[in-house]
Amino acid sequence: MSANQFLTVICQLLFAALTITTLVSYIRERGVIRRDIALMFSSLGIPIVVVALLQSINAPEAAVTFISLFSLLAAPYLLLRLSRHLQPVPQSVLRAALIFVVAAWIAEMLSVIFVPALSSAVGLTVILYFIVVNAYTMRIFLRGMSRSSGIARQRIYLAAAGSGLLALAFIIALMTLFIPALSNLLIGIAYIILVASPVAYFLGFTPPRWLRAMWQLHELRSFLLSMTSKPMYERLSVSTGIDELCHTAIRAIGGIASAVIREQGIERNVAAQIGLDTGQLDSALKAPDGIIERTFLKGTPLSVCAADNISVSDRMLLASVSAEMMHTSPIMTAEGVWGVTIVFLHSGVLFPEDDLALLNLLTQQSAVFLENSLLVDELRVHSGEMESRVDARTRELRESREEYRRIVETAQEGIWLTDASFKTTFVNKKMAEMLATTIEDMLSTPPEDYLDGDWLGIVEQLKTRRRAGQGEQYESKLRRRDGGVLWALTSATPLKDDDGKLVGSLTMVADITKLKEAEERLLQLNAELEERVASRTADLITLNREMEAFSYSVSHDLRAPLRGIDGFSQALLEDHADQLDEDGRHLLNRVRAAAQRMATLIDDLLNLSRISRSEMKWENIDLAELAHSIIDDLRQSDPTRDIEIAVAPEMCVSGDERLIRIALENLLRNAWKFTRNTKAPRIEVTPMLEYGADVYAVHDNGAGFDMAYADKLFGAFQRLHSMSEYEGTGIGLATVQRIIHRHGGRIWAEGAVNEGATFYFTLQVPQPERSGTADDHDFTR
Amino acid sequence: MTTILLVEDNPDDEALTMRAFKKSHLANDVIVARDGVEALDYVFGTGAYEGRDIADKPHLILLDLKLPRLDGMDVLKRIRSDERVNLIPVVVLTSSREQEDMVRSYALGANSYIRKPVDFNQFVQAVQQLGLYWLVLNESPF
Repeated sequence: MSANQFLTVICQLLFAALTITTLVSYIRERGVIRRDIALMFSSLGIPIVVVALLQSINAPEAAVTFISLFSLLAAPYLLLRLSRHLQPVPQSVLRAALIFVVAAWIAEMLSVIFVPALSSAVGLTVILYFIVVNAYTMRIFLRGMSRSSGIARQRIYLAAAGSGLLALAFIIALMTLFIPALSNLLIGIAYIILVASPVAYFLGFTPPRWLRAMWQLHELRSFLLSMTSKPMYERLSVSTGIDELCHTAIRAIGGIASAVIREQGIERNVAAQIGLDTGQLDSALKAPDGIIERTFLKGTPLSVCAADNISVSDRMLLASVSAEMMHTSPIMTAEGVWGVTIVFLHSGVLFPEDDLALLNLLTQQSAVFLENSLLVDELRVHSGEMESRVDARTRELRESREEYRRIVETAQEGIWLTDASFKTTFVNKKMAEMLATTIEDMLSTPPEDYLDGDWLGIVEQLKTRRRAGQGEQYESKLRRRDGGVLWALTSATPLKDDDGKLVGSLTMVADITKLKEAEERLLQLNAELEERVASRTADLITLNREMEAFSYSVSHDLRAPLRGIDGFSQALLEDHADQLDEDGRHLLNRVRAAAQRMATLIDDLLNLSRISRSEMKWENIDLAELAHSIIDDLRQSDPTRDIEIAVAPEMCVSGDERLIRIALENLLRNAWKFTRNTKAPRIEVTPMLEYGADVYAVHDNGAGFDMAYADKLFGAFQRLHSMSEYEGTGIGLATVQRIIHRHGGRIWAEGAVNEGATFYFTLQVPQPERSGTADDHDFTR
Repeated sequence: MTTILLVEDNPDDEALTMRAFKKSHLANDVIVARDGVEALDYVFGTGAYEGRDIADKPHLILLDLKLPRLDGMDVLKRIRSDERVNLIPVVVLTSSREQEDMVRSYALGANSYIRKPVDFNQFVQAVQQLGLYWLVLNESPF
């Protein structure tokens, strides 16, 4: 078998294979385009198969030529029909082609049977026809190619190549007629080209799976490259992803418009669109029998062609964009159909299944992107929120820091922070000013260096207490850097971490230097005052001594002459009675009485001063017992009196018994005396609970007194009665008052003329440390 | 004959005391010393009483406290600190009613403390009782 024969066989086998493949494809999937493809290849493949079959059964040559020629002649016409899907072919051209097929066939048959001489002329015409039609379809394919893109473009390109190669093969075959010398070579070349043509057709019209996959990968790669070439923030955003999907879909499958419809809840809206007017899609979004609704429901890619039997809404949708075809693909995410990609295509799509597959591939790839983008968007929203929250918080912190800084800096107190090892970590300006130094100096100096030398002893105690977690307020003396003194009132607080461990101390320092200086001045003044008091006291003591000496002298020296007056008057009365008449004796008795009265006065005065000077001896006394004892004495000294006495039982008080006795004796003696002219005299000694817990009273129903003079009762030498009525020196009540006062008590009286008198007194609780000195002030009054 | 030493600087008091003695019929030998020094001179046989036998002790000393030169307390102290004369009864006869004087007198060994009343009748009474007690009733240690 020669090379030419081999190539012929290859060529025949290829065309046969193409025929079978396209037929199978049409039978499987139907569709106008597939039918036309199958027909075209059948016209080329059938003659080969039939000729082979007929030759094998040795059928007559004429029959073989008849069938194969007719079939072969139909091929260019069928090719034209097929090219219609890419570009409208004028009806006249088709008709002319059909007439030529029939005419050529009849001419060929006649020439073969009747005029074999014409055979070569007819053959030449047929070859020319083939060349013209193939060239024409090649042009249509090339045009269609320019309009399409992606895999379809590749396939149309191959189809064009197939047609072109076929035309070329015929041209070369034709050339053998003119250059017979090269006929062998040219026929060889023609055969090679003829083999290449079905290969191109094969790859274009029925590309094998690996080739499709390669093309798809290529498209996908370019899509991915375009996506990944964008900056990360743009790439990973939903809107960018959707836009890119629209663009890529148009580019990859040669659409005229595209859109991405997104479903959010029950809402569906157009998320991105290219080549569409706003609102153009809206009515079709939810049409129940529309392609979009169906895609959402099924979740599979769909394709609709105007040539097919389609729903009204789909037809309207196609018409609205002047498209012949539309593809949809669901965008599937983990949660289901996230959205739908729709691409509209112009007429002239030869391989819609490729477009759909590619669209689906791109869409699903986008879905991955979109899903990521959604997450990123979500993240972005979250991080945006976080960022704004962090911003707000940072601002708040800054503001609050600023506020604290202002407080700390404008504070009128020093603020001093130390760490756990008592090293200064912070001081405010005020603190540095107080110590007449700088903040830097303070930060580099141990705190105790500022303490006055005499105060260093407290440092360890302070540290120990701080470590024990105790805060405290204390005064301390600090040394200013300019040599001055800073008296500080310091409030120290230990600072602890969450575990209660000491991390430092906060110390607030107030400058109390002025206060302290004032205090010192005050102390000095006090000392001076005390000195003066001491000197005054000493003066008083001296005075008191002089007074004592005076009293002593009075007691001795004033009484002596009185004794002389009395004694010698008596001697005169005794020794010279005969020389005196009654009147003289009376006068001498008056002299004696006056002297004795003077003596009583002196005694009373001495008593009064002694009461003020004597040391107090506190003990428990029963006033009742004391009163009874005094009254017994009175009764003894004046047994003629018949007085009703009422002394309440047990009136326990605390006081100096001797003095209390003197006071009570004076009061009772007065009562005794002033009831002298009273019928049924009565004296009572009783506690007066209605006046208070410690109020006692001595009551009589005697002469009484006029309340108008009540304030004069207790004055020394004050008397409310004449001597002739009731004798007395007028010192008794002054003495009583002084005694009561020495006991820290009070005395007052109530009475009315001829209706008796009541003396009330209180005795205060004992004060054991009471010394006589304080009472000496009384003495000078 | 019992001897009484009256130590008294005031002539009025001396006269009245002597009168009281007389009225009380204490016809004793009364020696009057006008101050503390004189009193001690008598007791110890010194000064104006140089050569006096101190064994001849007065039976009673009536001692005023307020005296020129040496006061009554000093006199008492000296008498009580000399064992030759320390047993002589000494009665303090004074105008003072000061607690302190009384306490000190007894502390220094006075046998009695009597305050001279202003009322002469009372004074006489006091001297009477004094004489009766110390010179008649009391058993002298010598």
